[in-house]
Amino acid sequence: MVRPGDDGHRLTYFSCLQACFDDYLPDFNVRYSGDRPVDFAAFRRSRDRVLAALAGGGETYPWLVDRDQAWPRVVDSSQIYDYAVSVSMARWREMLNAATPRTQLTKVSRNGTVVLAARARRAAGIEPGDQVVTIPVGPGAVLVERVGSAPSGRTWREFLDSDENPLRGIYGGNPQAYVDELRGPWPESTRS
Amino acid sequence: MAREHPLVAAVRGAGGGFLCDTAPLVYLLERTAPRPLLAVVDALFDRVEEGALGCLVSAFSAAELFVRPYRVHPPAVTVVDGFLRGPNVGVVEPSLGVAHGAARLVARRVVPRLGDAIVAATAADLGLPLVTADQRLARAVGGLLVQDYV
Repeated sequence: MVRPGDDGHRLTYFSCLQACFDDYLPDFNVRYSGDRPVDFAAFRRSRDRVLAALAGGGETYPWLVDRDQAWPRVVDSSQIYDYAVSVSMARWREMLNAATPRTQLTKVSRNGTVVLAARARRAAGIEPGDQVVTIPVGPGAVLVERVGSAPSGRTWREFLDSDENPLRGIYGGNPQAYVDELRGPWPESTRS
Repeated sequence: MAREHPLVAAVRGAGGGFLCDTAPLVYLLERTAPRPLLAVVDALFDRVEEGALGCLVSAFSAAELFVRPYRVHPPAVTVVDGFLRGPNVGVVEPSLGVAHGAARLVARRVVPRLGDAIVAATAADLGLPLVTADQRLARAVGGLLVQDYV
């Protein structure tokens, strides 16, 4: 038995839900009866029977019916689903936060100025005096990007002529052949 | 004062901006072209880096530039990306106007390949000269052929 809210069983609980709802969620409209324990393993084993019952109509689903009630009460799955989503969301957020290195907080001033944390700035290769642009990339997220210079502060030509240029010869030495390879052969019958 | 390179002068005469096809960018980035050809491309892009000219690149060409690096040497992708994000270089997103223009070029058999047509239609849509290394495309749409300026 797995009881919603029981931390020790979150994974099993979620696995059951995953198996039950992944494919059939749009078709399920069952309801869970509050605090009453539900055997989700049985639920999973019996999902084909559920589908058959739904297809046939008029049948009840014994593992989801609160037998203490005078009338068969279909249990509320929206609570189960919401709970499962909240559990998985929390886990997802925890994993993301753990995997994303954070620097110290900085405050946006009244005129919109922010200080780039030194560690992030150095890691991104942005030096004092560099020009940057700010690009909104989503709610609460702005990309700060350096502009105006090639890697290592050299001109692009200096960088491309250096041994550090990883593009040297990479296209095969015949640019037009490379383009023709991607765009296909040029047919003979043209008006040019 | 040194005389301005003829291709630079041609682009400047057309307003100072140009749309660059894929092959001239490959010449620039790859650095293995014959010296006279490289000199033409360098003259053009030195002015771009100085801010005297503006270079636009069709998203189609940008994708072509990325294909080989992604295929054989992923770290090189960042160099292409960095170049395309330069201050005087811009990538032009496809639009419905470009789609119409490209479709007309292909339908009327002016330019048979859709990729060429998208690049040419992008230049036409922006009202910019097309700088290309493809003689057939340059002749078909009146572009500036790099080899003509060697």
